[in-house]
Amino acid sequence: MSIFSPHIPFTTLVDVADENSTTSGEISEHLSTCSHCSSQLEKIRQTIGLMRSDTIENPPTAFVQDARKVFRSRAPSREPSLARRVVASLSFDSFTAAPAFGLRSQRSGGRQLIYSTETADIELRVSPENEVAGQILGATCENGKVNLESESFSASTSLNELCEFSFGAVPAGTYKISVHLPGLLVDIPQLELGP
Amino acid sequence: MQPTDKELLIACRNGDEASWNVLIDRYQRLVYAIPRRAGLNEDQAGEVFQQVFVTLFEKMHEINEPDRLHAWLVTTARRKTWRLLTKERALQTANTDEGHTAEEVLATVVDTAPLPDETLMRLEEQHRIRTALAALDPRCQKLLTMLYYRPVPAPYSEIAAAFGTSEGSIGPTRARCLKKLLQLLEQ
Repeated sequence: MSIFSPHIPFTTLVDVADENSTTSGEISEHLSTCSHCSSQLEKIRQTIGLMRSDTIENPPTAFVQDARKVFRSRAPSREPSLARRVVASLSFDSFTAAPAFGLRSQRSGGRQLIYSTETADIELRVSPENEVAGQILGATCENGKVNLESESFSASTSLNELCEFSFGAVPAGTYKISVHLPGLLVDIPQLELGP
Repeated sequence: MQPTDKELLIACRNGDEASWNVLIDRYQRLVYAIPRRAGLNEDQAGEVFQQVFVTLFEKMHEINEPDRLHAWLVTTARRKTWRLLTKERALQTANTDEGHTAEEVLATVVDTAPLPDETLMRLEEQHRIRTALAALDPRCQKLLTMLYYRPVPAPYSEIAAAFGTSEGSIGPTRARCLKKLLQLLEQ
């Protein structure tokens, strides 16, 4: 249908399938003889039809949460039996810290928090969109892992070679963070992430 | 690139909870739709939903073809749905049929498939498209959702405003997104 291709352009086929344009005589004639274009058109029509008729409802959130819990409640604990479990305490929060002299408050930007234990510090950065990232300082973190968990959301990620981790934007809520390190499990029991 | 079912199942076997959650996100609508389309109410469908995922957890080391997890879940959901339907019917009959226990009546109930194959195939196709859609870039996901997943398609003026673009560019973008979607479906 052009000097480059004997077939109808995909955009035109989508227009025909989506009934955005009336089919010209030339296109109808081509479709009646070209199996490539007619089969392509049929696939587009079927796909659009299936999307438009997709009225599958989402299961209630409570059912999904229960299904998620199946794993947590039944999986054998992966924590090493000799691992020490410690709770980290908050030692710095940029939301509550007064800005340094001559600096404006940084509350409009991200939030920085530092949690400390005897052996390791955890630096957390939370963006205004609730993207959570951070780094473990002062501890070895080979094969380390970080879990982030609230009533309605949970995610897990591995630490990289610099002991850093990051999560995409997470829903607002109260989170528990667990950092799994060799021989050590560090808990941050409560982190509020606002809307 | 989204992980395959096989990759997710293997990760679950190794104790990765995040992969379990991805599997639930991927299949929750399909698994829930099967009992619902078979006529079970929300609570009953919830019971089937829970049973399917508990069974998946218990059997995940025994699934010989992890790349056929989709078929395994559909079959399990159908079976659990059928069992619940049959039990319900038997109990109803037992209530009106004095002198027989529910179990005795249950044994006489005819084995009827809860869902016609055509309906099931449609559900599976719709699930396949949803999965492919989730692998598209966010812009394409948003556009195709606004165009095809709403009871009334969004007008071009609303889409143009949502994308900060002109109405004239929506047609070509829609075609580009649909082309990518079809390519993913053919993989």
